[in-house]
Amino acid sequence: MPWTYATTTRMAGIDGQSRLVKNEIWAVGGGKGGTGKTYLSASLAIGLAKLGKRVIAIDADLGCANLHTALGADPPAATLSDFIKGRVKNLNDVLGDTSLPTLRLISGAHDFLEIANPKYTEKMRLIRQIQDLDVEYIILDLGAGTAFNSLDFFLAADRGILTVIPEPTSIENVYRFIKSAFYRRFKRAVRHPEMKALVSCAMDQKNERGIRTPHDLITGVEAIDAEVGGRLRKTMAQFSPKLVVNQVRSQDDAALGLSMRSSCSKYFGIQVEYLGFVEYDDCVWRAMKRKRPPLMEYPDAPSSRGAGTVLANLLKGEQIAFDLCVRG
Amino acid sequence: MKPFREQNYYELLDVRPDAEKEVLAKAYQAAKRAFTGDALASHSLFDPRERAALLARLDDAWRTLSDPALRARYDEDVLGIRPAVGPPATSAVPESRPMAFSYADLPITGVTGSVLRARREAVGVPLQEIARTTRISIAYLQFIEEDRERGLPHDSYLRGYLAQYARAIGLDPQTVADGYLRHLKALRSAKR
Repeated sequence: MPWTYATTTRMAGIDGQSRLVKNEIWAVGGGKGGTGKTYLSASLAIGLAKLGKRVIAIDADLGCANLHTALGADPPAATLSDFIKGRVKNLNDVLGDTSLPTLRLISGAHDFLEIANPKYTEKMRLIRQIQDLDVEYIILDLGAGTAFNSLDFFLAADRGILTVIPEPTSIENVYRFIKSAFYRRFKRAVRHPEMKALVSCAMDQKNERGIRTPHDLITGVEAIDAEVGGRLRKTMAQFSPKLVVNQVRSQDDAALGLSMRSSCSKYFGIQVEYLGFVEYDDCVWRAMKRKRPPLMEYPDAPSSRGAGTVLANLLKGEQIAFDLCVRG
Repeated sequence: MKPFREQNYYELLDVRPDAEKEVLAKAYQAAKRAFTGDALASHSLFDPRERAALLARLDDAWRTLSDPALRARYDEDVLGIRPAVGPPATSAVPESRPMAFSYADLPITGVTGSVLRARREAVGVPLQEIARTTRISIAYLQFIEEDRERGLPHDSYLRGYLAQYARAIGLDPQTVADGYLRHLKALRSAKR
């Protein structure tokens, strides 16, 4: 019985006192395109549905939606754009079906270009309605890049998952994503104009005040106001993105997650959790070519087992158990 | 949760304070690999000055923790841990070099099958375990340790095997692969 509802962390379903707890939102992002965000979103959603959980997968890649294809579903009649533009009042009215009875889908906008950049208020209305959806788990498939859309959805989620592949471009983008998400959160947490200016200044990599890391920033804020600085320090301690390495071809690739975790701690002072890795294998593209989810087509493939480990770790709230791990 | 300047030596190496020597050695090699200039894992993060400072601190950590006397003093001064069992480690000068297997101590000309086996046995890693984690056939691993060049695969494959073998026992993959291939070349030309 590998997954039980932990009482210490908020889990979807019924809590210890038999009260209905609101859903749990998992967001999958990661900067660069082609690093397996949609693959992982689809695999997590399917994996949860196979466990009998009620799940809604949401394609939050506004402007470049394709999650329905990864789930092997038809493009639904109504999409997120209908909701954002107000043509549909309730998010429940844009739900589409998949081949699994407990897994439903909200497709991204794929018609209007301007939908790709909804106003902040529209976005917050969307996030509130997502939080009210009556299911156990919500999987958000985010778009590439560090646009505010992706950052805001990522920060609104209960768990933010980042996918990375063993390539410098992807790694660079993940670090940039972490940094951007962080500063975005900071900026929303402070009110004082002087501090807002400080955060904006820090977001510019070549800033003149020598702020290179979130830690430098906090030190700067503390110099202005110790209390706010302390609050930011707390924010930083709570910020714990999860990492999944995709397209793993060697042990070194698999160990990348550990080194990245260590890098994040040393550079940002942020505790990243390494959930696991997905091996590169041909089953993924073979299944995708047929527009079938790899997890359903090849449940025993190494890639599917890797995705299964990631899911199990998410449910248990644990990191990968790793025999390469140097932690004694 | 702290940037590297504030991390203690154990946090820096990502190990627990009670970590055994061989775990420390592995962690040190892993950290050096992760934070050198062209390392993938820290790509785009540190500027050259920060990186140099981090690498210097890693070296400090290893120098201190690999020496039992220095480590005991560090534990007491920094972590406030007194040695619970064993003799007090305050005997100032370490009388012998610790049996470290830092690859810096391994002369690059001296890599042979038997040297590798000796290291592996010193670290206490069974060959079966290496075979299991690296998925290299145990026969090849034995051939490597026995210098049985006729049984070994082509050099380009062998290089990869050697690197994985080295990693499994906490040695530098490049040094071991280079050294062993050079050794093999010498063996071959001697036979001719």
